[in-house]
Amino acid sequence: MSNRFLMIPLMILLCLEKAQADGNFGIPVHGFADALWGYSTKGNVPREKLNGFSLGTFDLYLVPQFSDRVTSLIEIAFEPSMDEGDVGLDVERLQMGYIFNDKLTLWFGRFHSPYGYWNNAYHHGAQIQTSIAKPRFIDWEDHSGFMPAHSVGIWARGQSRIKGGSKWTYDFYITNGNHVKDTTLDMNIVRDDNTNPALGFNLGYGFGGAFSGLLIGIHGMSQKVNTQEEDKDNNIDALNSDLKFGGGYLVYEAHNFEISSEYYHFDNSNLNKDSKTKHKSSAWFMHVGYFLHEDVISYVRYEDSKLDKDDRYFSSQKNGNSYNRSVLGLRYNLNYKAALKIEGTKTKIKESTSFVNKNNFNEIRIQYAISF
Amino acid sequence: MQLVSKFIFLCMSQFFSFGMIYAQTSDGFIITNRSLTITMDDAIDIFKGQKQLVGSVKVAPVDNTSAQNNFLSKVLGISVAQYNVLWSKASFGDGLSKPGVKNTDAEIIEAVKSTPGGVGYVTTKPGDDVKVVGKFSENE
Repeated sequence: MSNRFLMIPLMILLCLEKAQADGNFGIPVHGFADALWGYSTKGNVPREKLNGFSLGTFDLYLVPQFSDRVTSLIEIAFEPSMDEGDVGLDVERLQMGYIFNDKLTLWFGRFHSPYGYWNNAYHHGAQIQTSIAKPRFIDWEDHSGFMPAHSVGIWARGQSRIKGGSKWTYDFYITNGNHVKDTTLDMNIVRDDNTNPALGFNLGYGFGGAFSGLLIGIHGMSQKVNTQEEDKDNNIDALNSDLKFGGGYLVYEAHNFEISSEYYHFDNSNLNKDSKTKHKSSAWFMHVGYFLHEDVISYVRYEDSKLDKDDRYFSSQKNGNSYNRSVLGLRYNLNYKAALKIEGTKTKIKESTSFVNKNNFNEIRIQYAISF
Repeated sequence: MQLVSKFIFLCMSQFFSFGMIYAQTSDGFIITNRSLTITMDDAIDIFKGQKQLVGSVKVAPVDNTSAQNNFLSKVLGISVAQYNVLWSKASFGDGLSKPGVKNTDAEIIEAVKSTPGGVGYVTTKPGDDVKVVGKFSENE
């Protein structure tokens, strides 16, 4: 294991200690950390199977404000790799924003792709996320997800209050299109590898009054994804896919319930030299939590994906397989900064692909998660 | 003798019920800097992290620990635990900074008075140094 995992956070903490001793508090550092224990039954999905103890992600973020309108969000994450066991350091978010008014904030940089609700609301925030695992298909690209969870580009976000406490929310974004690198979706952090950027939107309506706590929305994205790089030496042509998805989501947090559901319909195309073939797929989940006590929440979740295995967008990715998963869990909040969770999952990989065979596996996990 | 004990019981029950009613009528006042004009809905949005600017002024909400439970339950309709979760999400998701915290009405009034976008709440009616936007009480 790399010493960076221990050294860098230690240096940050020492600097903070020194700053506090000097009476200079500077910019507050926030973050998340978690540790896990898990047991998995037989299966052949190595990125997800966890046996024994494990470090989760150590995540640090800052929100420096440079004036009333100039803002930023900087997040770095130390992530143990499920493949190699090494620890990777990621500049998870580096977004600079300008607040025009409550109806428009413009962000520029690297951010979490604002589709659905879950990806932007929780992401690396293990302690604020009720469950241990994310819905599998919206997990990070290098874990078990097949969605473009991260983006580099420009993002407009805002909200507008209307009568009765209801409000509209919106997100529009233009980012570099993704490409598939070593069987994993990559966001093209330095440059777009084709001239077709990703375009996306998310429109939400938050109810007021008697339905306060209910948010519904629609979302969509379109981009050209390079699924195979050109290799002139070996006479291999570049291959591209059109990724197009649309869908909706629902979030309800009131009266002791915590419900969220997201649906994605894919209308993708394999782009060949002279033709294209269309492929339809879908993925969705529904999560229902209920507070048994102010500090105890039980939850269940069901996830399902039906992917066309001839769709190159999915077949080129290690995680692009049809599956379903049932999740049952219990969470206890020791206080608002620490939580203990236990979760059981039952996963069925429905079809064999180039990377995994059709199989079933069950898991149980315990997580201790903190925020600061 | 029975009549005397009934009388004492009646007096005591009246005393305690009056005490309970009195305890339930503690008021709270939502205040802003004198230069700021907002509605009660705006105040709710500000303390939920859903409003950052009033005109060109950046708002600066401040929580009052001595009145927080009452304010959150009566005005925002949530508990302290839910409020903390709400701000953890707002900070992580939208890059917002949690409201500042003061312990007494005097500290809140001083902070609101000296900050152009200052918004807070206190348990006693303030003077003319700040503007009162709305009132909340246990009986509302």
